Amino acid sequence: MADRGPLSNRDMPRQNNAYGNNGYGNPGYGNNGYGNSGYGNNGYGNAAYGNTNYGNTGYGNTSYSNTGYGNSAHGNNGHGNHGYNNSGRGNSGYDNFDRRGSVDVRKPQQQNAYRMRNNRNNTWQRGPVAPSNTWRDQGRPAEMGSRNSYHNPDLVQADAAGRRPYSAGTRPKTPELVQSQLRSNSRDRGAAPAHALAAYSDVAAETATRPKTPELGSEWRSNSKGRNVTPVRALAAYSDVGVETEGNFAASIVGTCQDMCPVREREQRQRLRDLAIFERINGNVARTSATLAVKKFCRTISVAELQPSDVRPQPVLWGTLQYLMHMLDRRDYPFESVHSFLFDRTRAVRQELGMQCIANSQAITMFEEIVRFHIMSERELREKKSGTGNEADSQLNFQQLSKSLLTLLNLYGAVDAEGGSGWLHEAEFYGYYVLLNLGDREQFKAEPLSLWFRRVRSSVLQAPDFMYARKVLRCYRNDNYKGFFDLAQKATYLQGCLMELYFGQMRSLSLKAINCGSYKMHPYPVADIASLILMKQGDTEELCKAHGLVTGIDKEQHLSLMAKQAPFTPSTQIFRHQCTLISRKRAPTFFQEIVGERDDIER
Amino acid sequence: MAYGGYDATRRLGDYISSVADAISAQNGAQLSALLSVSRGSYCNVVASGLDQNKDVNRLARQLERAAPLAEMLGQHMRCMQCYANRRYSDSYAALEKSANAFLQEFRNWESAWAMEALHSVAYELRTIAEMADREMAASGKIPDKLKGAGSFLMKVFGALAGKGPKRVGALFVTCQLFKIYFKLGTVHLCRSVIRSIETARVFDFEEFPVRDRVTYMYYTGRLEVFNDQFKQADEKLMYSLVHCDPLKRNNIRMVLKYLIPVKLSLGIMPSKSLLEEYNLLEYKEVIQSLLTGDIRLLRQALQTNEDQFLRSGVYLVLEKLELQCYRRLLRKIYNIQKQKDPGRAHQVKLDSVMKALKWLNIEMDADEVECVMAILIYRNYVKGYFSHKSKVVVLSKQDPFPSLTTRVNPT
Repeated sequence: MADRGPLSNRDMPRQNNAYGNNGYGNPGYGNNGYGNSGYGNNGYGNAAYGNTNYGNTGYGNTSYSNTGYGNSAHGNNGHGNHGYNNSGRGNSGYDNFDRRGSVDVRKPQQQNAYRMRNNRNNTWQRGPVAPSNTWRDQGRPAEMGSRNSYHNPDLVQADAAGRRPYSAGTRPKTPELVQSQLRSNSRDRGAAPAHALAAYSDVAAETATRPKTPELGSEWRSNSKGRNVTPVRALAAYSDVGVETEGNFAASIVGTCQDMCPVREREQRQRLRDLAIFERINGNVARTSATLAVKKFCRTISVAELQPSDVRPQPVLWGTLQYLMHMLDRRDYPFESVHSFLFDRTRAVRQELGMQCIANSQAITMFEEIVRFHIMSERELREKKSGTGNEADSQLNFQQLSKSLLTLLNLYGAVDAEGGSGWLHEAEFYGYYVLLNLGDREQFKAEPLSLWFRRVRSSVLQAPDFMYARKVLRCYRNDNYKGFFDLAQKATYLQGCLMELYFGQMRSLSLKAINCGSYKMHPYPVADIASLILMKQGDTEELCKAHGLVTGIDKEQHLSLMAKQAPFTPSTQIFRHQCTLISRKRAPTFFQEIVGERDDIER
Repeated sequence: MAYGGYDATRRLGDYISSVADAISAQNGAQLSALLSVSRGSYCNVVASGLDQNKDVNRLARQLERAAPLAEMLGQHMRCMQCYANRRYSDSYAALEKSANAFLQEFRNWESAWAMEALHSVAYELRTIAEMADREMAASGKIPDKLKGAGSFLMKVFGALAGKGPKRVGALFVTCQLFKIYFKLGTVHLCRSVIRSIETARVFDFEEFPVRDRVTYMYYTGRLEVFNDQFKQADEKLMYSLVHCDPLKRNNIRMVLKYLIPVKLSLGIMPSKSLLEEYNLLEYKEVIQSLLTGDIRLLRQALQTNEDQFLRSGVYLVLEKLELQCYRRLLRKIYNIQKQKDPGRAHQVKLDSVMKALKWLNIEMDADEVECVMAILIYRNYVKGYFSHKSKVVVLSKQDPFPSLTTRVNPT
């Protein structure tokens, strides 16, 4: 029951401001009540923070098999999401993005406004469902990024395996209710699910055979710096990570939207007051412009409603990405907000690159920049992490980092470099892959590093950036903590960011080894340890304490570690001392770090 | 060889009759031989027969005789025809249909008489899929036939893995699956298959044919190597080696290729004669470096044979031998000191180690040497302690270098 609070579950009062579980197998903090402000789970198999009720201010999930914050069920991307495609915290509704930047402190009724008004319970049914009529009736075309992702019965079917939540606290559906909704479908009057599916597959086919607009296509395809690969190879590059939309890619769509955000979506979001801080004109939550709005990421896109005007072509994606990257250096908002915004918007950019199967040198550059962004934010988020419990952001970021890196590595393989000399930064990114996978993994979880190495090109194997990563790997595997930290001092900023993931481990290892082997009569000066493991002396002392090691003043008035102390306990807290050495390596601006030196204008 | 028109048709008819006979007599071996494509001798017969065949109806009537495998045989013959004409993708496509039909019938049969034939088909699936993939890659398409073969064989495995007389054939299919997954690099898919085999209490592992057991242990041993589980890898690969037919020298070589790094990690060196006998000379320098504590040689050896080691996937395992190398170096210094001054030999100055390393052209500062010593002590490679202040390693007077095979690795 993972009861981590001072009170046991049973003693937990309703209006809980602390931690306590009342759910099933929740390892985390969980409340089940109303008006909680804190963390709470109520669901099945939740592995993190989650509330399921009304007016929660904090983190909340409500469904089954959640992992982390913000369900991995309905495209929620943050905390306290209840609904679809939420990203932010304390949201209850649909597509809410960070209205207040962090926690939604409104009253329950206000928070749950979306739930109540637009309660889509009637589409939460088992099995494929014909789309409800309501949106269509109102003359509002179903839009991309539409919350009613259940327009696509394929998706519904996929979710019928029980992952869809029945929203707690609402009326259970009576069979009559279900039947009536099925019948109210204009497309298919109470047809058997199979028929509904078939109806949609026709539409999908229609999309597939829609001819490309050749004029637009040729414009950006005739990129001088890199030829586009055949669609088949491009598709393979994107297939590994599963481009996050559904549909038939036999003929990939060609976008025509010239703005960072398609007009339809812009208008819709203005109407729904669903604009991020950075998209608002003068802070007005209902006004945006073409220069400010950026297309959101939508996990499920129904192919039937996808139009070329909703998809941005490559040059626009490039421009969007540059605009986004420039935002990183903003000082007027905290980093988390900027990060959340960029996280979501770059994901949309990646999605569209995949949808259109764009595989050329510019796409590679874009992916490179996005990966660098993720690496860099990983570190920034970690810094903020201790104490504020930002783990969801960090975890999600990490996930996307892996995904985009994998796609990038695939792209390197799929696209032939000009002049056969390989890509400029290829070794750098292969190196990042190694650095990300230094540690032990669960057996069989993924491709073992030994097998992965087989696939690396020899030109990459010998490149300096990759050799650096290999040296780090060697030091790590041989427990050579000194070598490891020496290499860390020579790392570039981004390499340092990744290596920092293992600092804790290596530091503990060094303490263990020193404690184990050091001579009893000659205590080891803490200052020396500190310089060894790149920590400040005070922090090192804390680290020793955390491991149950005692320090004392020796004869020469130095603070030293006594040797051979018996119980070396693994540290109970997770230490995240930021290494200033790494911080110093950073380029003056984030943008420079991400973009590096490049000869620009690759349009 | 050009058969006359009638001749070819007659031979085709004969072929179909022999298949029908094999089926009615439940002769698995015969059927297996007849169905072989890449290994068999009937491809040309079938191919030329089909090429020259004008009478479709007659062919259909002939096929009926081979019921219940008529449908399967039809597809199978098409597969053979494409294979003989070197159209491997089409051959694979037909083969998959044939195998599907075969599997459906096979499921209905009570006894396992057709097991050998099923194995033959499984083997062909993999082989022809590989050829088809090569063909596709050469023409710029993405190869996906092998992946398809993998999923199909999983189905076959599912049909065999239950209880009953058919289970004995499951291990062969498992091995085919392993080969596919290793080739594709998707080794995580091996997990479910391994689980099925290893958690069966009803069936004893020893009841599978020895050939399959050897192959199975070889692949699972390799997986353990990739995951750094050396003790388990040792057990499995040794099983494989011990039970392998001594005449199958190639197989022994393959097992040794992975067993040697594992044994080295456990401190056991193969003899030079073994390396020479099985042509595994890439390990010679590695072993030499471990015997002399020559770290430079170790690194050089790894670099020289980098491609080979990377391809087999043992490179990272060999890199880990560096600690052992340091241990040997320390031991040599200790021995030399013992000769000079037995009383104080157990005290090794870090300086001496640094000097030795310098002779090997390896620059290491005192801190790093101390780090290595600390790790050697921590990991029980060496017994003793070190003093940071005096910059010296003091080895235990008794058994300072415990045997590597009995070493316990603390984590």
